[in-house]
Amino acid sequence: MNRTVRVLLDGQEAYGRPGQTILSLCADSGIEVPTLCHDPHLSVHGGCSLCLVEVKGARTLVRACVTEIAPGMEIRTDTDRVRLARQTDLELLLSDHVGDCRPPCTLACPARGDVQGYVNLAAQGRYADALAALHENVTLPASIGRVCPAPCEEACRRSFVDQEPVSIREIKRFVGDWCLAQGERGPIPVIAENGRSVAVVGGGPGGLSAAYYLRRLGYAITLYEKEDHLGGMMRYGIPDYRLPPAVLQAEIDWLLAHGIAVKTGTALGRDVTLDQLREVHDAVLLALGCWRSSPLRAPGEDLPGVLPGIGFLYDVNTGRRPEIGRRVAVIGGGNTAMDACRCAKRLGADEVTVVYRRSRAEMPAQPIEVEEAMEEGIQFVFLAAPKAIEGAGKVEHLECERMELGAPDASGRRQPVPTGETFVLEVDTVIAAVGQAADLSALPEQICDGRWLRVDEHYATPLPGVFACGDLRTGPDIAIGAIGDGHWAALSIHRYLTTGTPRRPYECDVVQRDLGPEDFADRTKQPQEHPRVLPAPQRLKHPFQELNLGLDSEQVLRDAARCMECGCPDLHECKLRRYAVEYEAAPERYAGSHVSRLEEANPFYARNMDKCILCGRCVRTCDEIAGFHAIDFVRRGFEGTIGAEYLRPIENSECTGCGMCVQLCPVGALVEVRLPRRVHSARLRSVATPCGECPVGCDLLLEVEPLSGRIVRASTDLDLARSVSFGNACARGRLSPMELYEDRLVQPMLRSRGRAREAEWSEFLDKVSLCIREASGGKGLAILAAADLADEDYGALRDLEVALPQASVSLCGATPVAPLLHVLKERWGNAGATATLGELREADLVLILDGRLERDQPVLASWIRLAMRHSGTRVIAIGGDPGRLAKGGTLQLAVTPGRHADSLSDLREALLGKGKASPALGQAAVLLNKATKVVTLAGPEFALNERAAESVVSLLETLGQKKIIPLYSGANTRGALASGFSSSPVDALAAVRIGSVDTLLAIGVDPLDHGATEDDLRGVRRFVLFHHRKTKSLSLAHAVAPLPRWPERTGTFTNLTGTHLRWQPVVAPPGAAKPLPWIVSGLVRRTREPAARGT
Amino acid sequence: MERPSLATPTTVRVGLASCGIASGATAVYEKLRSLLADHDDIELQQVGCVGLCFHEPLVEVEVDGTRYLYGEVTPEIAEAILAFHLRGEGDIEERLVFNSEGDAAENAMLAKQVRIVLRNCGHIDPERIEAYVARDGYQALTQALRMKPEEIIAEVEKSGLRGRGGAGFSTGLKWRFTRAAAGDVKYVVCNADEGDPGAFMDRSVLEGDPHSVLEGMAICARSVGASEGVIYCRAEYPLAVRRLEGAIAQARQAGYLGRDILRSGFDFEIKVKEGAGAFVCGEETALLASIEGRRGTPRPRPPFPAQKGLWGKPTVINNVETFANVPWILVHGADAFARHGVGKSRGTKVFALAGKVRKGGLVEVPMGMPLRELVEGIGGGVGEGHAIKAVQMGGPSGGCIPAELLDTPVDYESITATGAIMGSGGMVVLDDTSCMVDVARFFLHFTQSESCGKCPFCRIGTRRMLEILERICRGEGKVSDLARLEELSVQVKDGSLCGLGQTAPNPVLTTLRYFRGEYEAHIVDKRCPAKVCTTLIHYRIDPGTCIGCTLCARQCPVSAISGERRKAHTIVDETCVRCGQCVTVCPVQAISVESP
Repeated sequence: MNRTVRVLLDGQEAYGRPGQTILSLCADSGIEVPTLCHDPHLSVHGGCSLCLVEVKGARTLVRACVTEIAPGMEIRTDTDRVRLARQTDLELLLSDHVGDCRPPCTLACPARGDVQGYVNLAAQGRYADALAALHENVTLPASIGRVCPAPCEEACRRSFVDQEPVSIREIKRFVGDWCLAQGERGPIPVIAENGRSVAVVGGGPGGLSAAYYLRRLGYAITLYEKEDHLGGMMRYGIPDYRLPPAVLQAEIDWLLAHGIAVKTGTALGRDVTLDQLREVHDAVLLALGCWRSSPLRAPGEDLPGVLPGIGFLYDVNTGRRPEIGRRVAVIGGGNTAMDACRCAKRLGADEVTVVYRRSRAEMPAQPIEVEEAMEEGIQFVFLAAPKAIEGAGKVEHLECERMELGAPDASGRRQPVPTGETFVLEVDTVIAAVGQAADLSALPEQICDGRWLRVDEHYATPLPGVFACGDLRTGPDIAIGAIGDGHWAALSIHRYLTTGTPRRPYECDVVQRDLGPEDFADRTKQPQEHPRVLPAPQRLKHPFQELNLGLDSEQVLRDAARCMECGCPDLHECKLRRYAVEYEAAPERYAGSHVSRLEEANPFYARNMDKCILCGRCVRTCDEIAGFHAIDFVRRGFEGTIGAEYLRPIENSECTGCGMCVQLCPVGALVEVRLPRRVHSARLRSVATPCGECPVGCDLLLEVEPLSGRIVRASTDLDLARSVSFGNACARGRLSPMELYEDRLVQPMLRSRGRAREAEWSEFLDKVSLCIREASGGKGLAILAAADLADEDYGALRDLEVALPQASVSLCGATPVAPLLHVLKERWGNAGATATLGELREADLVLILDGRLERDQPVLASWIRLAMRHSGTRVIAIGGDPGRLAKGGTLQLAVTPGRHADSLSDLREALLGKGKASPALGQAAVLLNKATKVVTLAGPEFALNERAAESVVSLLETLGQKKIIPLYSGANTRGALASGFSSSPVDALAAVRIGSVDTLLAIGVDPLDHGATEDDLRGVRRFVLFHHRKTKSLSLAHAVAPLPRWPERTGTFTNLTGTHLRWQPVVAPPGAAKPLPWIVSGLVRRTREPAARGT
Repeated sequence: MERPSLATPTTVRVGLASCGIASGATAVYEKLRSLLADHDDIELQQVGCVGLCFHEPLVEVEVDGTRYLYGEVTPEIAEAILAFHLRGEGDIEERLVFNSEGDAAENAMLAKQVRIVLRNCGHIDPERIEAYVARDGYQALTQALRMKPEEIIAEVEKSGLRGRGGAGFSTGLKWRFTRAAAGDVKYVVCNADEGDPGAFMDRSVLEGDPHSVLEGMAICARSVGASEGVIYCRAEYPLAVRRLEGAIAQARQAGYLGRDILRSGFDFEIKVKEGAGAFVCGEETALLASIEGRRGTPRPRPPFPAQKGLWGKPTVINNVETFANVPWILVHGADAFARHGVGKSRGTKVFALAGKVRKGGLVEVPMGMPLRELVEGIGGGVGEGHAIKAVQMGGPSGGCIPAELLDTPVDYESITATGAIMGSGGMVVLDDTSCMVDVARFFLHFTQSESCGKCPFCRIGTRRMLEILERICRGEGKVSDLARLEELSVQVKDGSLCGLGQTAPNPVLTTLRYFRGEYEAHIVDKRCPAKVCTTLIHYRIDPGTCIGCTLCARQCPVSAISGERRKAHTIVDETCVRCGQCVTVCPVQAISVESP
């Protein structure tokens, strides 16, 4: 239709078609209107209320998904009213959406490290991939893995099971160390320059991170550092025994290798001014840190021998050995105090005393640091505050006042209150580690407000283009805090330089807060792995040698596998979350009650109705695409949910597990069952390939998670033109690609003297070619082949037959269909289906002869049910198992075994009005005579011999409806039969049994699944198994070769209705698996030229 | 009381609508039937509700065209009434509530009303079509069958009749759209899913004069070209359903329904479909889904039912009262109808007057009557010592009109301007013992639990609003809650899919607008000024007044009251559940309710 309807869309003239909805016109005009319940493949629902837009003259906001455009309509999609409505809508949905978006560990990490991602990659031993996951948010992981107090571990729910969290920090360190040691630190990408430059002032963790993340976005970066080396507080504030400088430097070097220019020894205010930087660069990021020790505010603090804590550590870390005397007092309870006291001890002080004004429980230092300091002989005086430092010309003693704990202060810790009681410590040195502040002297007044830097939540200072991050902005904080700060500042600068407005990324997470140990009672306990730490005497003997030796690889594998994967599996696919971020929705704004709903899993997918937003897509999908209507809305209002009738478990419903609803669910309420140790990634790669599980060959889209290289979901493209399967797929098609990782064969194996061992391909081919050559010259060789191999495989097997005169190939898993194909060829000139799958969907009557559609070709059952429910299509099932098709007026006729051909003859008589038909046959005849578009599906019992096949053909000729689709299993039975192989394994097995062959090759099949016994297999001299999985007969095979499975290969096959399809390699096969033609050609070559391959 | 006439009564009528039956009218009817068994000259009739529900059971005696209506009749009084009228014995004047010739207690109340919709209610036997026909019933249909459909629509349009279900859309226009919509098959649907708490207008019409609805529907069908009609009536109205079905059968037999009505060639069938009790099914698209056997949830409009309604065909949906107006308009003319009312609101409106008003019942008044006239003049105001605080109009979709706006005329536009809505006719009068926060909470609780759950604004938004109101009523509210309530109210109104959600915040918004101080008292002072919200009130026995009779202690369901006989009692505040039974039983009013 022509675009004749003129409207004003966001102030612009737009022309739409009559009857077009606002939503559709917006899509045509490139305006994204968010929606959760709408899908173009489903009927309109209008529930989610997210697509609200403003139409001039309308009393309320209108739903773009249902409102048709009218001439002259004035539509606005971008007003405050619209945005607020959408934001509120999302906030209301989030308030009743219970679960976790990102896991608690990630949310506890100030840098939002993808803990679940890198820990689970580590659990699979994929350390390089884990490092790549780390680098998305956490720079310097090996260093952070040494110094971080690990807030992630405090949040870890594993503690509910074992009272101990997953060793996230140690795993991170191991990953970083392993990659450093192996030199696998990840490729340096080629960066597309964007022509802009940013100055980063300060080379600590914050500045380094900001530089790195900005560099990845294409900015030219110059890093200005006042010291000679980068690393900031991590280098100059943390002693070497905790963080060896070599580790830090190696990590920094990798960051710099991305093309970051560095000017060390360049201090802001001394060597360069902010104005100069602003002139040269498009933006300046200040990451100066907090380098000024706070004063003690006690008389005598100017005496020689009173050292500032951070200055002391700086001296130690730069190799100077400050004069400290024999007795040292360290004032303070934070990590700087711990580092200072332990360094003082290492510099030779005999008596080191930490004076802290509260008790041990209130100490901000990490408990392990305190514990290790105590082990090293450091004294602690709690509840004491320095009152005065005295001495003649230098420090001699420290007068302290006893404190007691009063009421909690703003930090929640109890406030120390002076008691008036004093005591004196005899000391030579006092190290004041009571706090740090930023040195703002180099900064202009516009951005300094007295003692504070003026910086907003988006990291911007009042000076345009000048930003600040890290300790300078937040005050002294842990290193990972600065890393996160640098990252968000980088993104805010990017926003500023691309859109003109600084803006840090908006975060929106639903968090489940009400969990406790009882929710994890079913988990197996598995204690935490602990790193090896040098004992105290050894530590003091080698004072600045690293004392924590970390976990070993075995420990990492065990500990990482303790992760319970709390985050939502649909994190990156969830539309609710995506929109919530876009509209800056706050999940807590409308927090309130929630009616706890069903959570259940079946073999195919998990339903978590606590996350359901009642958009009804699944209900409509099941009804309108899958054809089953297994689920619907149940109850109403706030208590409403979605479930099977009478809320019975989903497996007792009409559900076939086809997963169409899972595919269309916009949130994480319906998710595919996945293997454990899943990894989240925002960037799934999707590859289209036909399904190889049955001869329908549905078009699938297999989505691969790039870091793990695994297929994590199978979906379909509902818009694919000329799709074989019209966008449908079944449970098997969706599930099998995700099962590719279980029990795989990865290496050829040979058995000698009863013991199996792994072998290289060359040896395998040598040995196997030898034995088949022997067999071929001797008693003979039987080959059992699967019916779901590619045409290329069958071609290779034909080559083998040609090369080995005694060999013959039999097919397994192909239901006998050859006689029917033969009769069809004879009578109608076409050895195959005469109907298309499209015609099956359009039929007004489907005649199913011995069909077991739900088992063998499930998608066909889906279409027929859809047609029955929506178009009144009738079904007559003769023999077989109609399954769910038995509902809805299906006429079922049972057949006595052996009377299949007779039953059709009787029906033919009834059609002609002859003979004495039973009432059921009579009814079938009436239905058949009335129908105008009949499609017949003929299964094994009507295909296994010519008589039965003739009865089918005669019936259809009498009826005058010659549309038939022969039914069989085995994805490429057609291709195999075209190669001339026997469609029955019986002959091959009989030959094995009577001993006429002594060598058996099984290709893609396990003979035990097709009538062979273990004794049969033991009876042959040679049994060679080619398979993708470790199957039952593995232990009986003399040689085993790994094959790729269909998502891992290329190859052609022919489907049920004769369409030629081609598999695309979606992922690489595991290990050494090779395609069959490669293997066979190797064998054939060797059998032909034995001399050349001799010993 | 002087004996009215020497003539023997001709007719005795007993109000046997639900209100009458609930008050015991069945026993009265049975008594009269046995007493009149020998009086062939006196006709005993059952009739619908005359509107004086607060006087039920009602018995009317007609003598020479003069009607005497007696209230609060028991079987014994019924006997006395007969004794008086047949034999001149005794005196029953104190039971006389209305006298068509003279003067009685409620003459004034009825005189102020104009009865178009209720023209037959209380006067005819709803189970006998003859009674309806005798009062010009089906005359309008006969007339309509001689008119062109366009003429009928023009007449209805000219009358100014607007939908009485609440939204007030022009009835004639709706019919015109449906007639203009393409399609051979069209439907007429009567919305009898009256669900507002406290509303019983439609029920009274269906129980008292079902034929007027059938006739209105038939006229509508004739004008839009429909041949099938459905009355969607809630199953909680069993008497209405029974009388409707009886009326349909009689009308069909008499040739007013069915094939070839009155030999005009016009076919029209009506079916009754019973609703399962979901309030949202009163919303027209949900109602249609329910008739079709689907889940009763609204769908977005457009398309409007006039284009795509029942089974996807053009459909007129009007409510009971709207249809009941139609025959009258055709018989008396659009001008006669339009003479009543003001501005764009013509004709009359039926209200179910309830709450703290003295004379609760069914009233029909011309549009434009000042609210005060209705509530005080007809309803008799509130109890002595109390003052009207507000009038809640329009049920859970409506709002509270404060006492200072009582001079507002009752017409669509004026009522809407106050923040309330005309609605289908629920009118709850509130006095100083009504807590406005609690009133808002009550109505929101109703809509919240009746939300179908389709759209988040209504499903979750009303729930969150209710949670805030409940917090405020418990004294746990925050000052910021008021802003949040207002924000949410605006969003829920603006974003909800159907009328239920779009109007659900009205009670909250109007109470916030007119009674913000009461909210603030709950939040800031932790005080319920009307002494209603149980966590904010305390019961106290005045030791000086208490006589130690122990009645209250014995009545208390949780044994919170203790005290020795003849000595002052005390209430344990922690145990007390604030049921108020002690106050009711105390013979000396020693127990007071306090809110700090």
